[in-house]
Amino acid sequence: MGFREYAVKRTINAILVLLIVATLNFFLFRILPGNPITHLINPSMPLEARTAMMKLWGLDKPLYEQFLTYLVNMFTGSLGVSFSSTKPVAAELMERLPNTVLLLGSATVIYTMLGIELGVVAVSRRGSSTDLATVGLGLLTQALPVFFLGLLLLLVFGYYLPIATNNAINFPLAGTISRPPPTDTLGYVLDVMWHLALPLATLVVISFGSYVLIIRNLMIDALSQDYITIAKAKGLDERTILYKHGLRSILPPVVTIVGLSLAGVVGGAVITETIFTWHGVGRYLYEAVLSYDYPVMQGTFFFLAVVTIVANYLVDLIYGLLDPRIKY
Amino acid sequence: MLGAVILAIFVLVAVFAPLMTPYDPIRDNFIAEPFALPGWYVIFPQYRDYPTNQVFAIEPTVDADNWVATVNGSIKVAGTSRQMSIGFRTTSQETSVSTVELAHRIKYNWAPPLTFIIRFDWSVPHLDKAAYELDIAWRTPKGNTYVVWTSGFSTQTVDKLSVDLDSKGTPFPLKTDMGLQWYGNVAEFIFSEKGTYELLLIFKFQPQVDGASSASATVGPLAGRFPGRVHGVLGTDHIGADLFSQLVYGTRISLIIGVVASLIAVAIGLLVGITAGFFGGLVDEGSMRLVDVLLVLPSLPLLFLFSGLFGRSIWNLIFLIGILSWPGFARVVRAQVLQLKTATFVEAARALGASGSRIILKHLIPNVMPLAYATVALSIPGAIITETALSFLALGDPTTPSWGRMFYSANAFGAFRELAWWWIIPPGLAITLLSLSFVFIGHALDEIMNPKLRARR
Repeated sequence: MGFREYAVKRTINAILVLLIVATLNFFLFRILPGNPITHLINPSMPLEARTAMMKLWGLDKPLYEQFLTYLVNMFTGSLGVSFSSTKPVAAELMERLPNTVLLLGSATVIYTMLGIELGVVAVSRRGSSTDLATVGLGLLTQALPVFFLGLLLLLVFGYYLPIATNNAINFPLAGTISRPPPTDTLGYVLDVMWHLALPLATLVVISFGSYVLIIRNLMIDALSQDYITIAKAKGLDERTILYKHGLRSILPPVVTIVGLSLAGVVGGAVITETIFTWHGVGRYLYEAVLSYDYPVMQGTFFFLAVVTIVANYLVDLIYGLLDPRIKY
Repeated sequence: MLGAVILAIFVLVAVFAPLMTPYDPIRDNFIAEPFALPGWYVIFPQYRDYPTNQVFAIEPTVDADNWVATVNGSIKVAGTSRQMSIGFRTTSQETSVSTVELAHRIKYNWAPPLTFIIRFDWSVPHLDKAAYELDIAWRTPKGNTYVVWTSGFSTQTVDKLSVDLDSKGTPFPLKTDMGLQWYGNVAEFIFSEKGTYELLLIFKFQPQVDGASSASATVGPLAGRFPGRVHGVLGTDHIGADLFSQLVYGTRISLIIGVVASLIAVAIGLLVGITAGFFGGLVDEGSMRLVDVLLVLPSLPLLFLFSGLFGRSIWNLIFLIGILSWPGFARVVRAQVLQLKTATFVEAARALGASGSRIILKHLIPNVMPLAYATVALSIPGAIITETALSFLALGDPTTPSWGRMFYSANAFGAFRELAWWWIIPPGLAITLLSLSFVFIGHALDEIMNPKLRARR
């Protein structure tokens, strides 16, 4: 089986999973006791107004027709209309997406780099205090719940630090940008980064722990291979052995782990966004759940699921490309 | 080892929760002042004289320990253990007001309280051509008298009235009399110095017409309290509930959630993994697709949906966490079963004519159980943290005293503004420690069960 067949198989698999998720997502909302509309419309409203609203949201048609409309809507990107704000869910998602991408993207880059660097350094000095500290830190951050870390950072940097420094250092407690936002470009970027600091730190610290431990274990395995002994015998310097021979050989599984951990990171991002009231996709879903805004719940969840499925699919493909040893 | 010790401590705390704290974590509110500091804060000099709960009870008798009566006019006072009777009777043509001042001495040697609370029953069963008034007042060591409550002059008899006086509700005119603004704190103002204070109940009677007039009044036992500004091990929350008891009872909930949810997950994982691995074919294909789906789905948003859809009882949560966390384990079990299926001892059993169920029960399950033990230990922290995260986000069970609920209230009701770290850090540390203990135990079990891992170290 060549790479092409592998890719085809993965693609079919991803599409299958997407379909299952879409179906699940639809029927979850239909097995509810009562009608979604009862949660939104005041029962004292006149009947005509209620039927008009039913029609507006397509809730008066038979179930299979609702399902077909739903499928078409989901895969064409029109995710329905929010009950509470009466705006299209897709438009609201797009408005929040850049914020989430900024938070998640920068966090992923930083914790990946940090995890690799610390993992490699720890392995190069196995048994040293650096190694022990890295393992300890990894275990600790693995056990540390994301909301606790977020609240702790908020308490220390948002409340105690301003008091200790007499408001000289004043971390923002909430939001994505100051109100009103700064007008000049540089000020704008700095302001966003200032708001980003605490949520970003939370996500990085939470995610890098398990990551550094995995890198360390993989590296220990990789460095016990024969070719490393040969490289050492050739008299190559340590850096070259560590990074060119050791690290490169473990990159494929590392890519897989980054992909697989994405679902967890999305979950962590939802909590982080909620704690720091970051105007992102995760908080959007949370607010929808609190206000029983079904189209938003359905659309946002579908969106998050599609993103993780696609990311995993891409990771699988990259893995196939990276590692020629893979058995398709 | 360390893990086992930490876990043992948590289990003991969970089992003996009622012995460790006398308070109910949900129902007992206003045990002390809201946002009371932890009790051990008194070791710091600036908090040395902060009061814990100061309670006083006064029997309705006339003696030096209880009430000292100072009569001015035609009043007789007699007390029993149940109630004190105050009789007023004029025979001549008096029109002046008669008063009786019942005084009780209280030593107050602490920093000013934020509140005082006074409760007692009183009545005026008999009135004949007379009017009455009851005032409650404090006399400070300097001799100033401040009225904190008054019934106002009345000519109506009353059968039984309860005074339930909270100094935070002192009427504005009385505050003005003390020279306070509308937002001023009466308790802090009156008890601004240390010394002996007097609680005064002042009855006033006035004849309404010329000639004989009479009246009688009763006062029951009085209970009073200065809610503590320091309290217990971890202080109190925004409604004066004991935080230590919430922490202790939260241990129970967290352990139950962790253990039950991960047992559910492991049971489903075993079932699916073994059937998929053993029977193969369509069963295998179908269940592994389901595993694929569940593995890539972001589980926290999915739990959001579920709790939004199915309600927020604690058992719902446990069940949902359980049925969402089995896929990874099922995959591992399946791989193990596939390997075992071709092992010689299984083939030998098959050749001897053993049935499928016998092979599963006698050969497969005993061989995958070691995996299951480690998985239970390793998946418990995940379940605990997930529940806490959901409760923290107000998607948990609001009637269960869990650690997540503590976080939620701390975040929602101003723990940050009040810098109440004792409300935020202890539950977080507890979760971290408990998770760590399970991680240690899980890794240790893993190492014992899979000797291959030992070489790695």
